[in-house]
Amino acid sequence: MSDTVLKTEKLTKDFGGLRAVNELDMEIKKGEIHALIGPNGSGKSTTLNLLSGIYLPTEGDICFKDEKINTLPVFQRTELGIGRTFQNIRLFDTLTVFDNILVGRHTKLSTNFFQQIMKTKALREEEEENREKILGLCKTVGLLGREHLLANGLPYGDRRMLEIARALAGNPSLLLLDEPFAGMSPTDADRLVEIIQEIGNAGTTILLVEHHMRVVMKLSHNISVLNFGVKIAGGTPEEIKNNQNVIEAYLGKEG
Amino acid sequence: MFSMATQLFINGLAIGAIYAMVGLGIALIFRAVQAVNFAQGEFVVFGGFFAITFFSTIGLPVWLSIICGVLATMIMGYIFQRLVYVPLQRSTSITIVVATMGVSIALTDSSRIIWGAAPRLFPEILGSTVIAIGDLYVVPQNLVILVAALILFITQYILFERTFLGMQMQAVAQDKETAALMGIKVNRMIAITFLYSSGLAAIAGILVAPITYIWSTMGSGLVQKAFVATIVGGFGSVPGAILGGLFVGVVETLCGGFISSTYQDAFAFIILIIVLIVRPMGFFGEETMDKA
Repeated sequence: MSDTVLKTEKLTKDFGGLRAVNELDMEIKKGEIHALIGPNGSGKSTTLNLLSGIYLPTEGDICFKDEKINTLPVFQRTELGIGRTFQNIRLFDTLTVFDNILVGRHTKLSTNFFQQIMKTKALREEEEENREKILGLCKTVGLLGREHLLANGLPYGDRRMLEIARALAGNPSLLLLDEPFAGMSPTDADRLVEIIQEIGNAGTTILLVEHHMRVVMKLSHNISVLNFGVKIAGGTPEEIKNNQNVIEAYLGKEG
Repeated sequence: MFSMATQLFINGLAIGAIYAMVGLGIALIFRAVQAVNFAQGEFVVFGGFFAITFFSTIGLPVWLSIICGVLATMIMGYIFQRLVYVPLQRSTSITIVVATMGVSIALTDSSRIIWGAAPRLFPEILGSTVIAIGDLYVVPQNLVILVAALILFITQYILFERTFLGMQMQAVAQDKETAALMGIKVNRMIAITFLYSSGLAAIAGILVAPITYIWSTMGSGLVQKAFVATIVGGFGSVPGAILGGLFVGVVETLCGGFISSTYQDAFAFIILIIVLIVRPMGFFGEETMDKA
Protein backbone atom coordinates (compact mmCIF):
# COMPACT_ATOMS: atom_id res chain seq x y z
CA MET A 1 0.00 0.00 0.00
CA SER A 2 1.29 3.41 -0.90
CA ASP A 3 1.46 6.21 1.64
CA THR A 4 -1.18 8.22 -0.20
CA VAL A 5 -4.28 8.53 1.97
CA LEU A 6 -6.49 10.51 -0.36
CA LYS A 7 -6.26 11.16 -4.06
CA THR A 8 -8.72 12.89 -6.36
CA GLU A 9 -8.49 12.68 -10.13
CA LYS A 10 -10.32 15.16 -12.34
CA LEU A 11 -12.94 15.49 -9.59
CA THR A 12 -15.86 17.53 -10.95
CA LYS A 13 -19.20 18.63 -9.52
CA ASP A 14 -21.93 20.46 -11.46
CA PHE A 15 -24.98 22.10 -9.90
CA GLY A 16 -27.24 22.63 -12.89
CA GLY A 17 -25.18 24.88 -15.17
CA LEU A 18 -22.71 25.82 -12.48
CA ARG A 19 -19.44 23.91 -12.28
CA ALA A 20 -18.58 24.21 -8.58
CA VAL A 21 -15.52 21.99 -8.73
CA ASN A 22 -13.63 21.56 -12.00
CA GLU A 23 -11.27 18.65 -12.64
CA LEU A 24 -9.60 18.83 -9.25
CA ASP A 25 -6.45 16.77 -8.81
CA MET A 26 -5.23 16.53 -5.25
CA GLU A 27 -3.06 14.09 -3.36
CA ILE A 28 -2.66 13.89 0.40
CA LYS A 29 0.06 11.76 1.99
CA LYS A 30 -0.17 9.93 5.26
CA GLY A 31 0.45 12.13 8.30
CA GLU A 32 0.23 15.31 6.26
CA ILE A 33 -1.73 18.42 7.21
CA HIS A 34 -3.04 19.61 3.86
CA ALA A 35 -4.83 22.94 3.53
CA LEU A 36 -7.45 23.71 0.92
CA ILE A 37 -7.80 27.45 0.47
CA GLY A 38 -9.45 29.86 -1.91
CA PRO A 39 -11.75 32.90 -2.01
CA ASN A 40 -15.45 32.61 -1.10
CA GLY A 41 -17.40 30.40 -3.47
CA SER A 42 -14.30 28.76 -4.90
CA GLY A 43 -15.58 25.24 -4.24
CA LYS A 44 -13.84 24.35 -0.97
CA SER A 45 -16.92 23.23 0.91
CA THR A 46 -18.27 21.43 -2.16
CA THR A 47 -15.00 19.50 -2.29
CA LEU A 48 -15.35 18.49 1.37
CA ASN A 49 -18.95 17.41 0.74
CA LEU A 50 -17.76 15.30 -2.19
CA LEU A 51 -15.09 13.69 -0.06
CA SER A 52 -17.42 12.92 2.85
CA GLY A 53 -20.13 11.63 0.52
CA ILE A 54 -22.83 14.26 1.04
CA TYR A 55 -22.59 15.07 -2.67
CA LEU A 56 -21.78 12.57 -5.39
CA PRO A 57 -19.28 13.66 -8.04
CA THR A 58 -20.47 14.47 -11.58
CA GLU A 59 -17.21 13.17 -12.96
CA GLY A 60 -13.80 12.08 -11.79
CA ASP A 61 -12.59 9.81 -9.02
CA ILE A 62 -11.96 9.89 -5.30
CA CYS A 63 -9.55 7.28 -3.99
CA PHE A 64 -9.16 6.68 -0.28
CA LYS A 65 -6.21 4.44 0.56
CA ASP A 66 -6.18 3.09 -3.02
CA GLU A 67 -9.88 2.29 -2.92
CA LYS A 68 -12.32 4.11 -5.20
CA ILE A 69 -15.09 5.59 -3.05
CA ASN A 70 -16.95 7.73 -5.63
CA THR A 71 -20.45 6.54 -4.81
CA LEU A 72 -19.95 5.02 -1.40
CA PRO A 73 -22.67 6.15 1.07
CA VAL A 74 -21.72 8.52 3.87
CA PHE A 75 -21.85 6.01 6.73
CA GLN A 76 -19.57 3.57 4.91
CA ARG A 77 -16.96 6.27 4.35
CA THR A 78 -17.07 6.90 8.09
CA GLU A 79 -16.51 3.19 8.67
CA LEU A 80 -13.50 3.32 6.32
CA GLY A 81 -12.00 6.11 8.42
CA ILE A 82 -13.03 9.53 7.11
CA GLY A 83 -14.19 11.92 9.83
CA ARG A 84 -15.30 15.53 9.44
CA THR A 85 -16.53 18.67 11.13
CA PHE A 86 -18.82 21.36 9.75
CA GLN A 87 -18.33 25.06 9.15
CA ASN A 88 -21.58 25.78 11.01
CA ILE A 89 -21.14 23.49 14.00
CA ARG A 90 -23.58 20.58 13.95
CA LEU A 91 -23.73 18.90 17.32
CA PHE A 92 -26.51 16.79 18.80
CA ASP A 93 -27.71 19.60 21.03
CA THR A 94 -29.90 17.66 23.44
CA LEU A 95 -27.18 15.10 24.15
CA THR A 96 -24.41 15.64 26.66
CA VAL A 97 -20.79 16.26 25.71
CA PHE A 98 -20.05 12.65 26.63
CA ASP A 99 -22.92 11.23 24.58
CA ASN A 100 -22.04 13.35 21.55
CA ILE A 101 -18.59 11.80 21.52
CA LEU A 102 -20.11 8.37 22.19
CA VAL A 103 -22.26 8.70 19.04
CA GLY A 104 -19.02 9.44 17.22
CA ARG A 105 -17.66 6.12 18.54
CA HIS A 106 -20.50 4.38 16.73
CA THR A 107 -18.36 2.61 14.16
CA LYS A 108 -16.09 1.27 16.91
CA LEU A 109 -18.82 -0.32 18.99
CA SER A 110 -18.96 -4.09 18.67
CA THR A 111 -21.59 -5.20 21.17
CA ASN A 112 -24.98 -5.83 19.68
CA PHE A 113 -28.40 -4.70 20.70
CA PHE A 114 -29.20 -7.73 22.87
CA GLN A 115 -25.93 -7.52 24.73
CA GLN A 116 -26.79 -3.89 25.45
CA ILE A 117 -30.16 -4.80 26.93
CA MET A 118 -28.74 -7.66 28.95
CA LYS A 119 -25.75 -5.61 30.12
CA THR A 120 -23.35 -8.48 29.47
CA LYS A 121 -19.73 -8.62 30.55
CA ALA A 122 -18.56 -7.82 27.02
CA LEU A 123 -20.70 -4.70 27.11
CA ARG A 124 -19.37 -3.57 30.48
CA GLU A 125 -15.81 -4.01 29.25
CA GLU A 126 -16.58 -2.07 26.10
CA GLU A 127 -18.28 0.67 28.10
CA GLU A 128 -15.23 1.01 30.30
CA GLU A 129 -12.97 1.19 27.25
CA ASN A 130 -15.25 3.79 25.65
CA ARG A 131 -15.30 5.82 28.81
CA GLU A 132 -11.53 6.01 28.90
CA LYS A 133 -11.31 6.90 25.24
CA ILE A 134 -14.01 9.59 25.52
CA LEU A 135 -12.50 11.16 28.63
CA GLY A 136 -9.14 11.13 26.86
CA LEU A 137 -10.67 13.03 23.95
CA CYS A 138 -12.31 15.49 26.38
CA LYS A 139 -8.87 16.08 27.82
CA THR A 140 -7.34 16.65 24.37
CA VAL A 141 -9.85 19.37 23.51
CA GLY A 142 -10.09 20.83 27.02
CA LEU A 143 -13.57 19.66 27.93
CA LEU A 144 -12.60 17.36 30.79
CA GLY A 145 -14.83 17.94 33.82
CA ARG A 146 -17.65 19.20 31.62
CA GLU A 147 -18.54 15.92 29.93
CA HIS A 148 -22.00 15.83 31.56
CA LEU A 149 -23.12 19.23 30.28
CA LEU A 150 -25.55 19.44 27.40
CA ALA A 151 -23.93 20.36 24.11
CA ASN A 152 -26.16 23.39 23.55
CA GLY A 153 -25.02 24.87 26.86
CA LEU A 154 -21.38 25.17 25.78
CA PRO A 155 -19.81 28.42 24.63
CA TYR A 156 -19.06 28.70 20.90
CA GLY A 157 -15.37 27.86 21.06
CA ASP A 158 -16.01 24.75 23.12
CA ARG A 159 -18.77 23.59 20.78
CA ARG A 160 -16.18 23.65 18.00
CA MET A 161 -13.79 21.66 20.16
CA LEU A 162 -16.52 19.14 20.94
CA GLU A 163 -17.26 18.68 17.25
CA ILE A 164 -13.59 17.91 16.65
CA ALA A 165 -13.55 15.46 19.57
CA ARG A 166 -16.65 13.76 18.17
CA ALA A 167 -15.01 13.45 14.74
CA LEU A 168 -11.90 11.96 16.37
CA ALA A 169 -13.93 9.45 18.38
CA GLY A 170 -14.19 7.07 15.41
CA ASN A 171 -10.36 7.03 15.08
CA PRO A 172 -10.44 8.44 11.54
CA SER A 173 -7.30 8.09 9.48
CA LEU A 174 -8.37 11.19 7.54
CA LEU A 175 -9.95 14.14 9.32
CA LEU A 176 -11.71 16.81 7.24
CA LEU A 177 -11.97 20.15 9.06
CA ASP A 178 -14.31 22.72 7.50
CA GLU A 179 -13.21 26.21 8.55
CA PRO A 180 -12.57 25.30 12.19
CA PHE A 181 -11.21 28.77 12.94
CA ALA A 182 -14.33 30.63 11.77
CA GLY A 183 -15.62 32.85 14.56
CA MET A 184 -13.05 31.66 17.10
CA SER A 185 -11.62 34.16 19.59
CA PRO A 186 -7.82 34.65 19.38
CA THR A 187 -7.31 32.62 22.59
CA ASP A 188 -9.49 29.76 21.35
CA ALA A 189 -7.78 29.92 17.97
CA ASP A 190 -4.35 29.53 19.57
CA ARG A 191 -5.65 26.55 21.53
CA LEU A 192 -7.09 25.05 18.36
CA VAL A 193 -3.77 25.41 16.51
CA GLU A 194 -2.13 23.37 19.27
CA ILE A 195 -4.88 20.78 19.20
CA ILE A 196 -4.67 20.34 15.43
CA GLN A 197 -0.89 20.01 15.66
CA GLU A 198 -1.33 17.41 18.39
CA ILE A 199 -3.83 15.45 16.28
CA GLY A 200 -1.45 15.60 13.30
CA ASN A 201 1.50 14.47 15.41
CA ALA A 202 -0.54 11.52 16.62
CA GLY A 203 -0.61 10.32 13.00
CA THR A 204 -3.98 11.49 11.73
CA THR A 205 -3.94 12.93 8.24
CA ILE A 206 -5.81 16.24 8.09
CA LEU A 207 -7.45 18.17 5.27
CA LEU A 208 -8.02 21.69 6.49
CA VAL A 209 -10.36 24.07 4.69
CA GLU A 210 -9.62 27.50 6.06
CA HIS A 211 -9.72 31.24 5.42
CA HIS A 212 -7.30 32.44 8.04
CA MET A 213 -3.99 32.55 6.17
CA ARG A 214 -1.99 32.94 9.35
CA VAL A 215 -3.04 29.55 10.72
CA VAL A 216 -2.91 27.90 7.30
CA MET A 217 0.71 28.99 6.84
CA LYS A 218 1.55 27.89 10.35
CA LEU A 219 -0.15 24.47 10.32
CA SER A 220 0.00 23.01 6.85
CA HIS A 221 2.69 21.01 5.12
CA ASN A 222 1.06 21.43 1.72
CA ILE A 223 -1.58 23.73 0.29
CA SER A 224 -3.99 23.47 -2.64
CA VAL A 225 -5.55 26.71 -3.87
CA LEU A 226 -8.96 26.77 -5.54
CA ASN A 227 -10.49 29.61 -7.52
CA PHE A 228 -13.87 29.24 -9.26
CA GLY A 229 -13.65 25.48 -8.75
CA VAL A 230 -10.29 25.19 -10.50
CA LYS A 231 -7.06 24.34 -8.72
CA ILE A 232 -4.77 27.24 -9.54
CA ALA A 233 -1.81 26.26 -7.41
CA GLY A 234 -0.40 23.59 -5.12
CA GLY A 235 2.71 23.33 -3.00
CA THR A 236 4.36 24.17 0.29
CA PRO A 237 3.30 27.31 2.20
CA GLU A 238 6.49 29.05 0.99
CA GLU A 239 5.70 28.30 -2.69
CA ILE A 240 2.08 29.37 -2.33
CA LYS A 241 2.99 32.64 -0.64
CA ASN A 242 5.02 33.67 -3.68
CA ASN A 243 2.74 32.24 -6.37
CA GLN A 244 1.59 34.97 -8.77
CA ASN A 245 -1.73 33.21 -9.58
CA VAL A 246 -2.65 32.99 -5.92
CA ILE A 247 -1.85 36.63 -5.25
CA GLU A 248 -3.99 37.63 -8.21
CA ALA A 249 -6.90 35.43 -7.10
CA TYR A 250 -6.91 36.94 -3.66
CA LEU A 251 -5.96 40.53 -4.39
CA GLY A 252 -6.89 41.00 -8.04
CA LYS A 253 -4.60 41.74 -11.00
CA GLU A 254 -2.28 44.68 -10.82
CA GLY A 255 -2.88 47.59 -13.16
CA MET B 1 -69.87 10.26 43.65
CA PHE B 2 -66.34 9.32 44.65
CA SER B 3 -66.54 5.78 43.35
CA MET B 4 -68.04 6.99 40.10
CA ALA B 5 -65.15 9.43 39.67
CA THR B 6 -62.61 6.68 40.39
CA GLN B 7 -64.33 4.35 37.99
CA LEU B 8 -64.40 6.96 35.25
CA PHE B 9 -60.76 7.73 36.02
CA ILE B 10 -59.77 4.11 35.41
CA ASN B 11 -61.78 3.95 32.20
CA GLY B 12 -60.19 7.25 31.15
CA LEU B 13 -56.71 5.95 31.86
CA ALA B 14 -57.39 2.89 29.73
CA ILE B 15 -58.63 4.82 26.70
CA GLY B 16 -55.87 7.35 27.36
CA ALA B 17 -53.29 4.56 27.17
CA ILE B 18 -54.66 3.73 23.72
CA TYR B 19 -54.32 7.39 22.64
CA ALA B 20 -50.82 7.36 24.10
CA MET B 21 -49.78 4.34 22.02
CA VAL B 22 -51.07 5.90 18.81
CA GLY B 23 -49.66 9.29 19.77
CA LEU B 24 -46.30 7.77 20.58
CA GLY B 25 -46.15 6.30 17.09
CA ILE B 26 -46.94 9.70 15.60
CA ALA B 27 -44.33 11.40 17.81
CA LEU B 28 -41.59 8.87 17.02
CA ILE B 29 -42.20 9.08 13.29
CA PHE B 30 -42.32 12.86 13.50
CA ARG B 31 -38.98 12.90 15.30
CA ALA B 32 -37.43 10.61 12.72
CA VAL B 33 -38.75 12.18 9.51
CA GLN B 34 -40.21 15.57 10.54
CA ALA B 35 -43.64 14.70 9.18
CA VAL B 36 -46.91 13.73 10.84
CA ASN B 37 -48.14 10.32 9.76
CA PHE B 38 -51.91 10.63 9.38
CA ALA B 39 -52.15 6.97 8.37
CA GLN B 40 -51.21 5.91 11.90
CA GLY B 41 -54.90 5.38 12.78
CA GLU B 42 -55.32 2.93 9.90
CA PHE B 43 -52.53 0.83 11.34
CA VAL B 44 -54.64 0.55 14.48
CA VAL B 45 -57.59 -0.60 12.36
CA PHE B 46 -55.52 -3.08 10.37
CA GLY B 47 -53.85 -4.39 13.52
CA GLY B 48 -57.26 -5.06 15.01
CA PHE B 49 -58.65 -6.62 11.83
CA PHE B 50 -55.56 -8.79 11.27
CA ALA B 51 -55.83 -10.21 14.79
CA ILE B 52 -59.57 -10.80 14.36
CA THR B 53 -58.92 -12.59 11.06
CA PHE B 54 -56.21 -14.79 12.55
CA PHE B 55 -58.55 -15.62 15.45
CA SER B 56 -62.00 -16.03 13.88
CA THR B 57 -61.26 -16.89 10.25
CA ILE B 58 -58.06 -18.89 10.55
CA GLY B 59 -58.78 -20.15 14.05
CA LEU B 60 -55.49 -19.50 15.81
CA PRO B 61 -55.44 -19.22 19.61
CA VAL B 62 -55.88 -15.71 21.04
CA TRP B 63 -52.24 -15.11 21.98
CA LEU B 64 -50.96 -16.35 18.60
CA SER B 65 -53.53 -14.19 16.80
CA ILE B 66 -52.24 -11.17 18.70
CA ILE B 67 -48.62 -11.89 17.82
CA CYS B 68 -49.44 -12.57 14.16
CA GLY B 69 -51.64 -9.46 14.01
CA VAL B 70 -48.86 -7.27 15.36
CA LEU B 71 -46.25 -8.80 13.04
CA ALA B 72 -48.51 -8.44 9.99
CA THR B 73 -49.07 -4.76 10.81
CA MET B 74 -45.35 -4.21 11.30
CA ILE B 75 -44.69 -5.68 7.86
CA MET B 76 -47.34 -3.31 6.53
CA GLY B 77 -45.61 -0.42 8.29
CA TYR B 78 -42.33 -1.39 6.70
CA ILE B 79 -43.89 -1.58 3.21
CA PHE B 80 -45.57 1.78 3.84
CA GLN B 81 -42.20 3.24 4.72
CA ARG B 82 -40.57 1.81 1.58
CA LEU B 83 -43.33 2.79 -0.81
CA VAL B 84 -44.44 6.14 0.61
CA TYR B 85 -41.68 7.67 2.69
CA VAL B 86 -38.51 6.55 0.88
CA PRO B 87 -39.47 7.90 -2.57
CA LEU B 88 -40.45 11.22 -0.97
CA GLN B 89 -37.66 11.55 1.55
CA ARG B 90 -35.95 14.37 -0.31
CA SER B 91 -39.14 16.41 -0.70
CA THR B 92 -40.62 18.81 1.83
CA SER B 93 -42.43 17.64 4.97
CA ILE B 94 -45.79 18.82 3.72
CA THR B 95 -45.53 16.54 0.68
CA ILE B 96 -44.96 13.57 2.95
CA VAL B 97 -47.82 14.61 5.24
CA VAL B 98 -50.25 14.88 2.32
CA ALA B 99 -49.07 11.49 1.04
CA THR B 100 -49.83 9.93 4.44
CA MET B 101 -53.32 11.46 4.28
CA GLY B 102 -53.81 9.86 0.89
CA VAL B 103 -52.64 6.51 2.20
CA SER B 104 -54.99 6.92 5.16
CA ILE B 105 -58.00 7.29 2.83
CA ALA B 106 -56.86 4.40 0.64
CA LEU B 107 -56.34 2.13 3.64
CA THR B 108 -59.70 3.04 5.18
CA ASP B 109 -61.50 2.00 2.02
CA SER B 110 -59.32 -1.08 1.54
CA SER B 111 -60.23 -2.27 5.02
CA ARG B 112 -63.92 -1.75 4.25
CA ILE B 113 -63.57 -3.77 1.04
CA ILE B 114 -61.70 -6.56 2.83
CA TRP B 115 -63.57 -6.80 6.14
CA GLY B 116 -66.85 -4.99 5.43
CA ALA B 117 -68.33 -1.92 7.05
CA ALA B 118 -69.72 -3.61 10.16
CA PRO B 119 -67.79 -3.33 13.44
CA ARG B 120 -65.97 -6.52 14.41
CA LEU B 121 -65.12 -7.86 17.84
CA PHE B 122 -61.93 -9.37 19.23
CA PRO B 123 -62.29 -11.46 22.42
CA GLU B 124 -61.42 -9.97 25.77
CA ILE B 125 -58.19 -11.44 26.99
CA LEU B 126 -59.30 -11.94 30.61
CA GLY B 127 -62.94 -12.63 29.85
CA SER B 128 -65.81 -10.25 30.39
CA THR B 129 -66.72 -10.81 34.04
CA VAL B 130 -66.57 -7.44 35.75
CA ILE B 131 -64.20 -7.44 38.69
CA ALA B 132 -65.54 -5.89 41.89
CA ILE B 133 -63.00 -4.20 44.14
CA GLY B 134 -65.00 -2.81 47.08
CA ASP B 135 -67.69 -0.77 45.39
CA LEU B 136 -65.54 -0.30 42.29
CA TYR B 137 -66.43 -2.29 39.20
CA VAL B 138 -63.56 -2.70 36.77
CA VAL B 139 -63.84 -4.11 33.27
CA PRO B 140 -60.99 -6.66 33.04
CA GLN B 141 -60.00 -5.46 29.57
CA ASN B 142 -59.23 -2.03 31.05
CA LEU B 143 -56.77 -3.68 33.41
CA VAL B 144 -55.26 -5.58 30.48
CA ILE B 145 -54.81 -2.30 28.61
CA LEU B 146 -53.19 -0.57 31.57
CA VAL B 147 -50.82 -3.43 32.34
CA ALA B 148 -49.89 -3.85 28.68
CA ALA B 149 -49.29 -0.10 28.33
CA LEU B 150 -47.12 -0.07 31.43
CA ILE B 151 -45.02 -2.99 30.16
CA LEU B 152 -44.71 -1.39 26.71
CA PHE B 153 -43.67 2.02 28.01
CA ILE B 154 -41.11 0.54 30.41
CA THR B 155 -39.68 -1.68 27.66
CA GLN B 156 -39.49 1.28 25.37
CA TYR B 157 -37.77 3.35 28.02
CA ILE B 158 -35.13 0.65 28.43
CA LEU B 159 -34.69 0.31 24.66
CA PHE B 160 -34.42 4.02 24.00
CA GLU B 161 -32.63 5.30 27.07
CA ARG B 162 -30.40 2.42 28.02
CA THR B 163 -29.18 1.13 24.67
CA PHE B 164 -27.15 2.66 21.95
CA LEU B 165 -30.08 2.17 19.58
CA GLY B 166 -31.96 4.92 21.38
CA MET B 167 -29.05 7.27 21.11
CA GLN B 168 -28.75 6.57 17.39
CA MET B 169 -32.44 7.32 16.98
CA GLN B 170 -32.01 10.61 18.83
CA ALA B 171 -29.05 11.50 16.66
CA VAL B 172 -31.08 10.75 13.51
CA ALA B 173 -33.98 12.81 14.88
CA GLN B 174 -31.73 15.81 15.33
CA ASP B 175 -29.54 15.82 12.25
CA LYS B 176 -29.62 13.04 9.67
CA GLU B 177 -26.59 14.20 7.72
CA THR B 178 -24.35 14.41 10.75
CA ALA B 179 -25.72 11.14 12.08
CA ALA B 180 -24.71 9.47 8.82
CA LEU B 181 -21.27 11.01 9.19
CA MET B 182 -20.99 9.28 12.55
CA GLY B 183 -21.47 6.03 10.68
CA ILE B 184 -25.11 5.62 11.67
CA LYS B 185 -27.27 3.85 9.09
CA VAL B 186 -29.94 6.55 8.93
CA ASN B 187 -32.33 4.70 6.63
CA ARG B 188 -32.22 1.64 8.84
CA MET B 189 -33.04 3.76 11.91
CA ILE B 190 -36.02 5.28 10.07
CA ALA B 191 -37.21 1.83 9.01
CA ILE B 192 -36.96 0.62 12.63
CA THR B 193 -39.01 3.63 13.73
CA PHE B 194 -41.78 2.82 11.25
CA LEU B 195 -41.72 -0.87 12.24
CA TYR B 196 -41.96 -0.03 15.91
CA SER B 197 -44.66 2.63 15.47
CA SER B 198 -46.88 0.38 13.38
CA GLY B 199 -46.41 -2.39 15.95
CA LEU B 200 -47.56 0.02 18.68
CA ALA B 201 -50.59 0.96 16.61
CA ALA B 202 -51.48 -2.71 16.08
CA ILE B 203 -51.25 -3.41 19.81
CA ALA B 204 -53.51 -0.42 20.47
CA GLY B 205 -56.05 -1.76 17.97
CA ILE B 206 -56.03 -5.27 19.43
CA LEU B 207 -56.36 -3.95 22.99
CA VAL B 208 -59.19 -1.55 22.23
CA ALA B 209 -61.10 -3.96 19.98
CA PRO B 210 -63.00 -5.77 22.80
CA ILE B 211 -64.23 -2.43 24.19
CA THR B 212 -65.06 -0.22 21.22
CA TYR B 213 -65.04 -2.84 18.43
CA ILE B 214 -62.98 -2.29 15.28
CA TRP B 215 -64.49 -0.75 12.19
CA SER B 216 -62.98 0.55 8.99
CA THR B 217 -63.41 4.29 9.58
CA MET B 218 -62.40 4.44 13.23
CA GLY B 219 -58.79 5.34 12.38
CA SER B 220 -59.27 9.01 11.63
CA GLY B 221 -61.11 9.70 14.88
CA LEU B 222 -58.41 7.91 16.84
CA VAL B 223 -55.63 9.73 15.05
CA GLN B 224 -57.28 13.07 15.84
CA LYS B 225 -57.36 12.24 19.55
CA ALA B 226 -53.80 10.96 19.47
CA PHE B 227 -52.77 14.09 17.60
CA VAL B 228 -54.40 16.23 20.32
CA ALA B 229 -52.54 14.13 22.90
CA THR B 230 -49.15 14.74 21.28
CA ILE B 231 -49.81 18.48 21.04
CA VAL B 232 -51.00 18.69 24.64
CA GLY B 233 -47.95 16.72 25.77
CA GLY B 234 -45.52 18.73 23.68
CA PHE B 235 -45.09 17.89 20.03
CA GLY B 236 -42.30 15.44 19.25
CA SER B 237 -41.74 14.65 22.93
CA VAL B 238 -41.88 10.97 23.89
CA PRO B 239 -42.96 11.37 27.55
CA GLY B 240 -45.24 14.16 26.33
CA ALA B 241 -47.09 11.81 23.98
CA ILE B 242 -47.64 9.28 26.78
CA LEU B 243 -48.77 11.76 29.43
CA GLY B 244 -50.76 13.79 26.89
CA GLY B 245 -52.61 10.62 25.85
CA LEU B 246 -53.44 9.66 29.43
CA PHE B 247 -54.48 13.25 30.22
CA VAL B 248 -56.80 13.54 27.22
CA GLY B 249 -58.31 10.11 27.96
CA VAL B 250 -58.99 10.90 31.63
CA VAL B 251 -60.34 14.42 31.11
CA GLU B 252 -62.64 13.47 28.25
CA THR B 253 -63.99 10.46 30.16
CA LEU B 254 -64.55 12.47 33.35
CA CYS B 255 -66.21 15.32 31.46
CA GLY B 256 -68.24 12.79 29.48
CA GLY B 257 -69.40 11.16 32.71
CA PHE B 258 -70.15 14.27 34.74
CA ILE B 259 -71.10 16.86 32.14
CA SER B 260 -72.40 15.29 28.96
CA SER B 261 -71.57 12.06 27.22
CA THR B 262 -73.03 13.43 23.98
CA TYR B 263 -70.17 15.92 23.83
CA GLN B 264 -67.47 13.50 25.01
CA ASP B 265 -65.51 13.81 21.77
CA ALA B 266 -65.65 17.59 21.92
CA PHE B 267 -63.85 17.74 25.26
CA ALA B 268 -60.57 16.54 23.74
CA PHE B 269 -60.63 19.50 21.38
CA ILE B 270 -61.63 21.92 24.15
CA ILE B 271 -58.54 20.71 26.03
CA LEU B 272 -56.51 21.29 22.88
CA ILE B 273 -57.79 24.86 22.51
CA ILE B 274 -57.12 25.67 26.17
CA VAL B 275 -53.60 24.21 26.03
CA LEU B 276 -52.82 26.07 22.82
CA ILE B 277 -53.87 29.34 24.48
CA VAL B 278 -52.23 28.80 27.87
CA ARG B 279 -49.16 26.75 27.03
CA PRO B 280 -48.75 26.45 23.25
CA MET B 281 -45.61 24.31 23.52
CA GLY B 282 -47.50 21.66 25.54
CA PHE B 283 -46.38 20.03 28.80
CA PHE B 284 -42.99 18.85 27.62
CA GLY B 285 -42.46 20.95 24.51
CA GLU B 286 -39.56 23.28 24.01
CA GLU B 287 -40.24 26.90 23.23
CA THR B 288 -37.64 26.74 20.53
CA MET B 289 -39.77 24.27 18.59
CA ASP B 290 -41.09 27.14 16.49
CA LYS B 291 -39.48 26.62 13.12
CA ALA B 292 -42.03 28.46 11.03
